[in-house]
Amino acid sequence: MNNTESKLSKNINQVSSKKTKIKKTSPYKKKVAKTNLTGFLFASPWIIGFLLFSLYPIIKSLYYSFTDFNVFMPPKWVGLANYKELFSDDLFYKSLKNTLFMTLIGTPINLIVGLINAMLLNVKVKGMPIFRTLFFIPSIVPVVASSMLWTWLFNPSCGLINKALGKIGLYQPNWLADPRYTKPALIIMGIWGTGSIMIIFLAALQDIPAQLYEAADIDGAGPWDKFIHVTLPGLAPIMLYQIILSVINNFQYFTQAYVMTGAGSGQYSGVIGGPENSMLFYALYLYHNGFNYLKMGKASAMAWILFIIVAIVTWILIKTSHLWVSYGEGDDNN
Amino acid sequence: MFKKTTALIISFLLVTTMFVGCGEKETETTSKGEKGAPQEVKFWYLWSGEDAKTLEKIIANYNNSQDRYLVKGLSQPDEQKLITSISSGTGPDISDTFSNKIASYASKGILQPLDDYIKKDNYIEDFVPATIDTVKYDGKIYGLPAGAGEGLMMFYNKKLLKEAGFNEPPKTDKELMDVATKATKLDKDGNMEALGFPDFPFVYYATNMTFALGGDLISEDGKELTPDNEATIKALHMIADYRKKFGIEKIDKFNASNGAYVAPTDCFITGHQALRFDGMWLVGLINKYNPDLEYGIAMLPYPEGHPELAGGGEASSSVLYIPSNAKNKEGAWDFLKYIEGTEGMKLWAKESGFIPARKSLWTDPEIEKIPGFKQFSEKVAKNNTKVFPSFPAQAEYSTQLATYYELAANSKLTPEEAMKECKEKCKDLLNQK
Repeated sequence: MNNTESKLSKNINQVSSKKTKIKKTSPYKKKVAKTNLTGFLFASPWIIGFLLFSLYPIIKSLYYSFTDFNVFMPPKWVGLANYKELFSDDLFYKSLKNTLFMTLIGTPINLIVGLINAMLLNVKVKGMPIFRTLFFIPSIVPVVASSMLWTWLFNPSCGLINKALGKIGLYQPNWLADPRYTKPALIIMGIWGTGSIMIIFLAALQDIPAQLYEAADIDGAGPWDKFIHVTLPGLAPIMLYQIILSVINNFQYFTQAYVMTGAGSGQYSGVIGGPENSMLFYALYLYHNGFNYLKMGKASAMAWILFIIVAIVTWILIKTSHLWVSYGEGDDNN
Repeated sequence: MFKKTTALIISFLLVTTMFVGCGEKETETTSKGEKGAPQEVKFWYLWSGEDAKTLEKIIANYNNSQDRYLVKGLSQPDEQKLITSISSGTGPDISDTFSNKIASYASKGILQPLDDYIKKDNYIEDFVPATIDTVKYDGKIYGLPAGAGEGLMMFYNKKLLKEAGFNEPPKTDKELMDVATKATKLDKDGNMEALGFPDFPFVYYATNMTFALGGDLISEDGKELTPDNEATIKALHMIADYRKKFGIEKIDKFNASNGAYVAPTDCFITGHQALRFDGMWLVGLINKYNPDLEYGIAMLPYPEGHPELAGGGEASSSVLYIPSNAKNKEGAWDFLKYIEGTEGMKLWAKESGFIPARKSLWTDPEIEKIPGFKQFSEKVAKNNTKVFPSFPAQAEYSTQLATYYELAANSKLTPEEAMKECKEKCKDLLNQK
């Protein structure tokens, strides 16, 4: 018992010396503190990773946005010059316009198609798992490979799409060379890859209690009424999540445009954003400013402007969500 | 107590395994090598395909001829990836770019000046002086040119020209329009079957035609950028008129069916283009994919009534350089000396089909056999070629020009409007670093 006594006295001494920090230590609080410490230690790899590889570069890029920096020479402080240059740069506004087109038109189309697919795949038919797999597979094909394949599908003279259009006698646009048709082509390509959106909607659909549908049936609701008054409200939380995610992703649209404007192919093509810069999206213009013109300061400024825009848009989406989203039963208002 | 130690040990392991994945791919020692083993020299080049095979041959010859250095070649066509690697210190010891980027790279400190090496080995005398000018910036030499910078020539399809009633290639800009219009063929559906104008590759047309017609993209005193010079506007009118006459959509469709640049389906290689501005490397590709093609090589056209301006065009060539943060500069310079030396350059020029930058090789019978050599010598004698304006922000100027060339050629703006806007956009570029 001597041991425990000395341990206790040691503890009491520690406790009393920390009197200024901790008012009253109960064994419970100490246990909580110890558990906190253990938890913190387990989380430390992620925390260190976040600080080193995410937070530090982010802060550094904020610093670089106020400098003239070409990576090979030390950065030179220029204050707001990069931002001023951007606000008088035509291509900056063009890239914003292109990105907004993709966001405002691409997002609803992707979500609607994903939802329709999910509802179709929710119908219990024979071979349901096979259909679900088939519809999901396109979204896991590597984006670069699929972009290159779609470039061939969109080829105006020998591509399959124009061949099909020709067979039914429709106008065959010059998909990737006509500035009016490049973004529609990209949206069509995006629809092909909505598998991940579809899967999430599918899971959400199955979460809607069957009793609600049965109740609606008893009240004599038709399929459209059931959709509007049962399905959509039930999906609302997930819909909010999908909208926010889709908007954020579309604001950063890059890979497909990078491949299809031939940026990485090593071919000297002069124009950086496709026909009349119709495929110059914000992230692609950022990339060219940073790695082609070696203007890292300007590119960093672009990154921070995008961050602010996306943060504001997301904040608005969440703040207005209470108007149309209600979470589960029993929750009154949030 | 025991639990806490385990927790500490496990988290420590997790943290250290995290760091295993990052860090540099190669350590410092690989480039130095052990005593006796050859030091590694990394050579990343933009070429691919047949040109890459030629380079690998030269590398093999070099490695076999000595055992101090071992050159490892890598085809890396993505120039931005190359620059990024150099910027992070994981780039090659020797690489290549084009002469119209030297000012941009040199001003940013990417290139190692070679004057000391050259002086030590007394290396430069055999090179054509004009070629050395293209690799100089601020008075220092930043790379070595591979070719003589003859620029682009006009390739013409003899059969298509004969069918249109021409036995000779056009000499002036007016003749060019005439030949191009008459040699264009449409098939029964109205789609383009043979392209008359040097419309493909589009990127090779406007700047070269500007210089061929005697214009320049920068003022004589170097203080102002002049995209709105008369020659550019004339060149753009020509292509805009051609496109309007035959229909932009038809031409775009025809161009799109070519696939990638100089693929086997290329319209000139398959005999479906009458006139073409391209580089000497096209010769090797024609020999490979369609050796029966009846074609000729001529100088770019000169403006009507000014035969003294013949032989104009953009002078540019590939340039080999050593990055300023290369790990093995000695090895890189040793290999650079070989590939730009008489033996290396001769094999390279012969197989890839370009005119070498060394004067002594021009009297070599094997070099004289390179197709186009005769026309090239005439062109050099006339001394009318120009270089793309050399200043740090030249890459952006090039992009802006390309953007407005396109708008003018597609008649979205008149050439005058387009170039005026271009000039307005680019007015600050000369002051940028």
